[in-house]
Amino acid sequence: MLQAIDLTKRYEDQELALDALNLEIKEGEIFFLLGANGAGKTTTINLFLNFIEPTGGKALINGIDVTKEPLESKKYVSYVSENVMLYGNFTARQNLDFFAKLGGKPNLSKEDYYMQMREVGLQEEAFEKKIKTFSKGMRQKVGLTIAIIKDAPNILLDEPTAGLDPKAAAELMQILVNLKRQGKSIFMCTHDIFRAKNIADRVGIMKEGRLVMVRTREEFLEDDLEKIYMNYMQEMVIEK
Amino acid sequence: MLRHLIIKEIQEIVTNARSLFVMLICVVLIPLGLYVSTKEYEQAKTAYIDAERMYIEGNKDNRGMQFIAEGYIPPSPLSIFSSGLSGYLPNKISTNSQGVWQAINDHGINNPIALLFGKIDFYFIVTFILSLLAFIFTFNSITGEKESGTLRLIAANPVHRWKIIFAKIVGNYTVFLVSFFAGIISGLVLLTLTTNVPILSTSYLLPFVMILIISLMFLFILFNLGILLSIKTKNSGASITASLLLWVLIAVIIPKISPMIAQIVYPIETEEVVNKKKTMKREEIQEEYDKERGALLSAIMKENGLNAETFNIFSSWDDPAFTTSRNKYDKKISDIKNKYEIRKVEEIEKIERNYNSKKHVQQNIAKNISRISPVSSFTFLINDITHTGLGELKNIETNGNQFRQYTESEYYSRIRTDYKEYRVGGMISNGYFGDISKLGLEVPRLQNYIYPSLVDSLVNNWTDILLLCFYSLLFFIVSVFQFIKYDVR
Repeated sequence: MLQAIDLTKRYEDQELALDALNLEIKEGEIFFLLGANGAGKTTTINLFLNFIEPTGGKALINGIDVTKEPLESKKYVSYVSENVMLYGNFTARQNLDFFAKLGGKPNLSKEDYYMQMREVGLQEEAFEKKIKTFSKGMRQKVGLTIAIIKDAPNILLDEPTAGLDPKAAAELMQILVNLKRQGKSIFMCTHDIFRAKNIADRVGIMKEGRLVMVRTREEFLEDDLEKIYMNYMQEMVIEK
Repeated sequence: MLRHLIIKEIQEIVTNARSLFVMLICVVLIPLGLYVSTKEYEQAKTAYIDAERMYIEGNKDNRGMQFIAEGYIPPSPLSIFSSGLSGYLPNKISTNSQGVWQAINDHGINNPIALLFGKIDFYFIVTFILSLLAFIFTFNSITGEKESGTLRLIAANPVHRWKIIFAKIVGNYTVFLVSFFAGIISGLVLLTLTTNVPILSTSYLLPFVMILIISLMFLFILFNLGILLSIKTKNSGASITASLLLWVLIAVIIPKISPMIAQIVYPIETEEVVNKKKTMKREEIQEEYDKERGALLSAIMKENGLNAETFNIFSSWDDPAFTTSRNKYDKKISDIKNKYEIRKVEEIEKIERNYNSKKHVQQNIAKNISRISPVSSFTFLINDITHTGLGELKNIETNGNQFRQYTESEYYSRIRTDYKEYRVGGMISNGYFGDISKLGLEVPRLQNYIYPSLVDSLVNNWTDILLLCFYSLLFFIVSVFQFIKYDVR
């Protein structure tokens, strides 16, 4: 479970990046956070991962305050970034092996890695190929495999479909649905409203550091999410 | 966890083309540098043996107070690791009956192109090539991972930051050292197979092990500096630019600019001026002595009814009145002569002491300024261990004084007993008044030139040892603490 309680971040230049965010993502829930660039989506993820310190409030992962116990909290969260580069001179399996050990899974076998890679749809011949020969979609799948292998109850994804072709993006979404079925809490920042409509249980829209709207699946299907999102975006353009 | 991080670092670096390049440089340049330096040492040793032999053979029959004794300085065996000042250091010491000694450099220029470009010896390879490679090895160790996003992935896991940076330092350093030691081992094998230098004997091995330990410490400093720059810069482009600029600063600018600053801050006379002063002082005292001894002999001759102004020393040598005068004069002159000799030595020593103390102050200013850079401490230390550094100038002075004393007691003092000089009017008659062949004199030579021991070299350079330890710790600790606060985003 992920919780943000009055979570606030003001940068050194006094820019308010996140303004008293209150949010809870339950087990087996997929939450999509939409918003323009600079709305505060990545800042939220950075706060959950303790990459930056909050100026107010707190972020909890499975009830653990990430600022007070950063190492303990990181045991319960996996992370997939926007552009997974990984170690280009390592094979997919070597990358998995390294990050699995970091994530607290030191005893996995080659077969375990192969099995996970098969599950995310990677072709067998890619397992022992160097990552630098991979397409972005393949790298993204390896990145997701790293998150899956850690087997953490919470997964944070920062625009993982950016730059992916529709087929690769759809495959990625299917994997997330599978993870949700295993009871994982999934928090994904994205601009991809189409994917949000497809698989999200709840959707939030951020604007200038504030969470201005949260809708459940039933609500946003009924209210036409695209229209709501576009309205917020237009408001922003007019304000500017 | 730390083990996994270190293994990952090693694997990552090994698969990088940079490590292959470093390996190639080490395996080719280190043996080549050692081999060329050893051959040069062997040539210098042969030249030293020949020069001394020719000097002894050429001076077998040349005896007298005018004879100038020469002591040839053997080349330092450890110069195979660093030639340092060896081309500029004196290769012989000469001394005369007046107790004046000087160190002379008549090496000549055997290989002007090598001198112009600088020799590639072990010291040069470590100081200028491996130090640069250390920066090239580490410049993007942090920025590279940040750019590829792997640093975020690592930091998203329950890993202490200090473990990440520690693994980086250890991993990079370990791979670099493998190449370094591959070069060293190849070099030692090459020297053992192709030269006559007993490189595996303790006289070589112990100093070389110490040189290696100091080199490892020096490279460790540069690794930490490289990683620190990678932490403090925004991207790989900025990292490599900063690394190269810092390298130029610490390897070239600071060491080269320090003596210039010292010259401006504390200007002193040149050695040429000081030598002229010494000659003038010597001539001044000699003139006074000549006047006094001339007056003494004139007075004695007058007592015996002779006029020194009109007396012909050569045609009237056996004149009984002159013989009586000479005998009286011989009894009195030695005290006067001694007085002037002592004065001469004292005055010359005073000028030298004064000059040396000023030179010492200027040198210390230059040394201390240059110590801002670890390259300078490394240079002072390695070259003093190999007896090719600044310490050797002092050592030559010690050996020069010993050679002067030895020559005086074993050669000149034995001749001096029966060596006489008479100045009458404008004429001088001098020479050995006895059978010089009965003295059994041997041509004096520098039999035992003593180089400082390894321990002495280390003790004399304790400041630089401490500084290298300090820089190692400082940059390591700063790197770790800076990374703990590092923004991985």
